Amino acid sequence: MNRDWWHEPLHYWSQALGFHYRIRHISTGSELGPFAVGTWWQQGDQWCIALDTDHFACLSGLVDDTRLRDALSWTLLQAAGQTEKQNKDLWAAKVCERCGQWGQQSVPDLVHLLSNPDGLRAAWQGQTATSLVGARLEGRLVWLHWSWRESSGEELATADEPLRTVVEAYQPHTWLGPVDTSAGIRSALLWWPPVIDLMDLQQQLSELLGVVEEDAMVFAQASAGQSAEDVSDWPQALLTTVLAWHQRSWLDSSPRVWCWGQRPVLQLFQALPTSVWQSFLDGALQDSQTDCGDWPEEWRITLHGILAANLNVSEAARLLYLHRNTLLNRIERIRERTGYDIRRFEDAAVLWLVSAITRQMEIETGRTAVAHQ
Amino acid sequence: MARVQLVKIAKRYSGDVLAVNDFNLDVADKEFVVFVGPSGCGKTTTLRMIAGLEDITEGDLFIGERRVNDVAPKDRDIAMVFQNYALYPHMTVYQNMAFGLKLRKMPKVEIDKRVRDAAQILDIAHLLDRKPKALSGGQRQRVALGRAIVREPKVFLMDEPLSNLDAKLRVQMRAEIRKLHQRIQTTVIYVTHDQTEAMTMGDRIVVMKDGIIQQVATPQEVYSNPTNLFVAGFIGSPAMNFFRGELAEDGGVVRFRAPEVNLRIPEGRYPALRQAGVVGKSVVLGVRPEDMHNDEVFLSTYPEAIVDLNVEVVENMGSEIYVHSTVGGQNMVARVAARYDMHPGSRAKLALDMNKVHIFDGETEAVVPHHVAEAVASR
Repeated sequence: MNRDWWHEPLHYWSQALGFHYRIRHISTGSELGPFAVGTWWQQGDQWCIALDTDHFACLSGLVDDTRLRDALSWTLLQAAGQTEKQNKDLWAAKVCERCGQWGQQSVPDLVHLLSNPDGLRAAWQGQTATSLVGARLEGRLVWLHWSWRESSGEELATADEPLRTVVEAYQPHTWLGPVDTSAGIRSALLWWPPVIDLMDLQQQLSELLGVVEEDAMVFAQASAGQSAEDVSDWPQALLTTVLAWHQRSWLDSSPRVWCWGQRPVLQLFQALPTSVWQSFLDGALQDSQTDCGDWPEEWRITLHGILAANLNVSEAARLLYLHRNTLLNRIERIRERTGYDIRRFEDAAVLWLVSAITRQMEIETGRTAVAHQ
Repeated sequence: MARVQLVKIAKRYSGDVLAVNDFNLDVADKEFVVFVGPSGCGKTTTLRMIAGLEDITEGDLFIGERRVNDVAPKDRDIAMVFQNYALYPHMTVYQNMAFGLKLRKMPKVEIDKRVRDAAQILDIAHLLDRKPKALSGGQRQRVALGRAIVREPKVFLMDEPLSNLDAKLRVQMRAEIRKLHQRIQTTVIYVTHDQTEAMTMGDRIVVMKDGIIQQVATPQEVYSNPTNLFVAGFIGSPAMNFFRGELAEDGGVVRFRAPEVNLRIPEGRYPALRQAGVVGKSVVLGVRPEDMHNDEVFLSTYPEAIVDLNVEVVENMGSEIYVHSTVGGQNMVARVAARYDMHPGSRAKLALDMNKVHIFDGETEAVVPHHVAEAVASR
């Protein structure tokens, strides 16, 4: 690990904000610390920030603004996180702590993102500097994923180039940086300019994926997080981008663009701990003769058809290309086995929730969720 | 120019969800083939497997003579056009059309020639300096097509390219794409959920449901001789009318019986019905709206093939009228000539053209062929 890793971010910041800094060593027997990287304390009229267990920086001339200190912590943690796994975890924990409990599923991705792209760091610093000089640079993070099929003799690094070119051609100055590859999947973070509303964002990202497929010829998907107005919103912007990406696993259908805020029901699910999911399943399936994991595929299709047809059986039969009587038979079989008549809104909603939660629990725990009877 | 062969193609997603199964198709060079089916039937997944945007779980895919399962999309010599006709908003039409070629590092002179040629074909040469926001929906769609044409690919893959257009423009663009195909003479695989689009555009259509091919044939063949109940109901607008009932034989005469329906089956169809083993069993009788007539000639020719109904809704289409009714609890539509005075609440008699009705096995939903020879041939 480069022991001087903090010099670059501190220098950048001191230039941007006009403060001076001095690196100090925490002497043996000192009452100071140990502090986690990025922790602030005050000594006289100076603010000090911990760099590692042995070093801290004293800053003179730094404006007394919590936001600025948070921002500098972020930058230092980001820099530290690139060299030390422990700090990556700390970084992610900080984001998670800020944003509340959102389940463990997103944490590995957060750690991965936070510790990975140079682009994110550069953008963060650029954003921070812009913000500090009074300009407002609004936008949101977009996490672009694409599948990668290797042609013989082709390098991954060169394979990213057409995609980056396409993205920049569609929306200039958005590319922040690529994220590590895993199992044929590549991803990159983009900084997307403000949009009118979520529909507008959805439309723009769908078009982006269209040109990516047509010109870069790769299959791509994207998630977009909550809009950020300044650097203090970045943790939330990043977290919600990751959470939006994880909403994919909740639904049977597979849209290719996931915008945070478009599916509030899924946000609610994501905010609930697994124990609440299990409790819901226990109650919902207590009279059922069939665990959700054992439902025939045609039941799920039937349920989705009925919901898509606003509980209208004739319309659902038309949508599903079934004879009405065939559909009625299926509905009756579902009622007999589960106790729920999906022609009623409440019953259909319960089974939809059961289906979605079971699916998610299978993904998260690798096991089939069953009612504890 | 290329032939495209799909041999026992399957696509399985995690969780063992089978999106496409046992898909066999041979698309001839320069052929225009349309995949049609309801949403979720696997048509787009199949197209994307051909494009290389989805992995193939099982089976072999050939473009030309080359197996391309493991070939990157950019090396398959294909071009794609999608529903959202994505264009680069900051570029002119010319730049939009040239961009894909620039990415491939093609010489400028060649790019210029191809762009101008394609613009000529699509009649958008006067729009080359405009940006997408200054174009109408139809013009944007032409530019999207132009972006594909300039590549001069072996195969065009089109995924619902007209879905974002309004109804009138869609009809116009259908014809434009057909004309374009005739002009550039390239293999086209086209996906749509719209059966009218499929019927009017394809040399052959591939009807799909639940990831499985239901029928591959020319539009007329699919319309006239559907292989099963699904195809019969999916193709045709208004859809084919179905009556669920049973075939009963009484004194050497086979009759179809359902609530409020009692129809004599023509003798010529007995051998095939007997061979299929459906006499005395539950069947579905299908009749197209245009095969139900209220002319005196038909009523007198088929006195034992008449349904008596209460007219519920009349849709006047100008040249003809659609008569909606309910017979034996089953919805029904008939197309009759506009000269007849039909109005809601009135009674009407309609004779079914029994030589054109379709009979489907009540259990398997497969069609019972009209003739024994067909029955033998189909086995």
